[in-house]
Amino acid sequence: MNRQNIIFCHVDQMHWNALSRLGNPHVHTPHLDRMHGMGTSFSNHWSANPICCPARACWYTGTPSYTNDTLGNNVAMRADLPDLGQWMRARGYECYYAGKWHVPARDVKQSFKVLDYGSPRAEALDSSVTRTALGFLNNYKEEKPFFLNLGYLNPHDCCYLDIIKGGYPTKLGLEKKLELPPLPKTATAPPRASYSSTWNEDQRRLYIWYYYRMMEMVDAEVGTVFKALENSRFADNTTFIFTADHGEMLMEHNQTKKGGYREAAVRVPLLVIGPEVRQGICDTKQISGGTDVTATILDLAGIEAMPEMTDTTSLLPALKGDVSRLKESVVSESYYLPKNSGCRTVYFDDHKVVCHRHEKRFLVYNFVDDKYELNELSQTDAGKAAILKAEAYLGVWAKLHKPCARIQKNPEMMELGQTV
Amino acid sequence: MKRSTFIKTMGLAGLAVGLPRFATFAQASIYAKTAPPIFEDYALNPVRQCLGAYTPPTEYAPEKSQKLTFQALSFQPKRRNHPNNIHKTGHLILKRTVETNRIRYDIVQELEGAQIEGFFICQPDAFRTPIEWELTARPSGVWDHRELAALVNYRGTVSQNSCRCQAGALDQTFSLNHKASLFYNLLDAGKALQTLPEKQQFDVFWEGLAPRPNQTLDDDGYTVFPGSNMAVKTVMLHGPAMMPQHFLVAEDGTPLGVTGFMTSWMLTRVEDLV
Repeated sequence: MNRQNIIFCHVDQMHWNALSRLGNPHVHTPHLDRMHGMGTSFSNHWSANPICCPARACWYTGTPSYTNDTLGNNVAMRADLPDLGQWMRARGYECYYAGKWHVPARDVKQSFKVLDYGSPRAEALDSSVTRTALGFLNNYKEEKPFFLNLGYLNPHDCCYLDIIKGGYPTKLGLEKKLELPPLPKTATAPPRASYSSTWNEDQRRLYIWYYYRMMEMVDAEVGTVFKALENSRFADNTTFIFTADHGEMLMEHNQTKKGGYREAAVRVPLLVIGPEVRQGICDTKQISGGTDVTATILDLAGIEAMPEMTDTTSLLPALKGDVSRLKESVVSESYYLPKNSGCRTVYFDDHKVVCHRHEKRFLVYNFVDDKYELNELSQTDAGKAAILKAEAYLGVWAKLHKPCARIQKNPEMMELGQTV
Repeated sequence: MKRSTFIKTMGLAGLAVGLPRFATFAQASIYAKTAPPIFEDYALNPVRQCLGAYTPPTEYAPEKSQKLTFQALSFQPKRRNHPNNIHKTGHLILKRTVETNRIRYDIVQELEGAQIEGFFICQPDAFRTPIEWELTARPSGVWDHRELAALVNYRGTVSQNSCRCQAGALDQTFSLNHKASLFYNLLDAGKALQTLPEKQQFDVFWEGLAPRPNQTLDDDGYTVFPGSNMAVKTVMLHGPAMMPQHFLVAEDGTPLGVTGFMTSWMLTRVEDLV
């Protein structure tokens, strides 16, 4: 077995700061903390489109939503695009999947050998994914290298606290019994469009408390799999990639859940551990997006890029020690369906520029110093310069990608961020 | 009856006849003989929709060999035209065999298609402190690959202050700071949970694979089953990496079940083993 095995382990809806290693005293993630010391993490990594289905369609095709057509949840992905399972299987890998998939109009079993379909509830799914992974590492006997995908669901299920009319199964009332984390600075009022709009301050803090317990649950699951990998015969020949499809607002800016452009929703963790990877490195230089994970996986496997992966960058040089920034800009998309509108966010230098076509509005933040987005800079000289630069980047980006049919039909979505 | 109305009615009834505030309630309930100190609603939230049709088994006897059947109830949020729903997603069968110096449990759990079966052996103490266990897990999904994904005979052994867990390549030894328990043990620890010391701490082996250390068991008062006026003790298990689990214990010690977040378990049947 010369080519290395790859485990692509993703969690769902992980806030970038939901790690105790980052100094967050309200969550305890000993497993992921330990794992960060064993590989290279990227502190400036963003979801390609911070909602479940689009983010996953981007991962598995290496294309932006603009191209693959999955602009929102449950919007069918282009049928003619290959995905990682199909592509790598045709090039010598055994490709397996366990857990949450959620790529619309693409049956996971057409692309992967499915080990565990799982459940829509993390309480049932995640421990099953772990047992499945442990069983797989114990039982796999093939000569071919494997590409094992583990789709954990937590901490996603905090959604159910806030979307269910009537509030069950939320145990509201518990807030009186527990030591709760504080609300973030930008949480000045209840979220407007959710069940949580009726919650008082302590109930909103309870939401955050629940979220961190879910984060700890998935930390325990991922850590158990990783320990098994370390002890297995595959330890010296397997790269483990950990990331999340998108983040969670956690009451920041008076929001819960995901979507949009805020760092809480878009910024996600990315950690790679493997034989070719430097240990104990937190790379603050690189900027990267969801489709760059795809390019990195293919590069690790020694496989060429899939069609229409026109704007992706493998992070393998950085994993091996290249300290120069590998790409100039990263674009994250977010569409508001069915309004046929949305925004594109461009990351470059130290800035993010959010382009809302429908409101003819730009927002500018410093993503290095202001991760909680307290200071909007569009009216400053630096902000104005950043907007001009963002328009240029978006113009190039749009030319690099083929727009999907849904985008072509809607000029407003086509031109997002390219006009002033 | 709404909780507020219920409390008001019971309080007035008690005042009218000069009895303690909850005496009337105690007489009216199936199990409660003493005044519940606290009323709370939330412990039942994850299963509330199903409780109207719930009849608690009355044959529970911890000193006997018995088969306990728990039903898994999972919350399904509204999807398109379907309303919120709580539906049956599996079962857990615990066969308790009482032996001279130990208790053996044979277990079959099926949850959303994923199965765990095997046994665990415990001390005959109130909390069923585990001695050893051995389980096999098979996921839901495509049968062609099921054996590739099966985790066969993963086991744990507890001795003094440490526990060793072996599951394929995973082989870990943990020092135990507190009492240890399997989640399954707590499902059968009804009486012990009723007389819980405050802030009892545990290391819990969830599904027998890896520990969730530093869990706390807290007395969380009483809750009232809608429709029946049955008051049950609620004990909350919470801590790192754990959804708050409310164990529901009837006054006679019957463990009625546990409510988690999206998934809960309710005791539906108790049979004596011959």
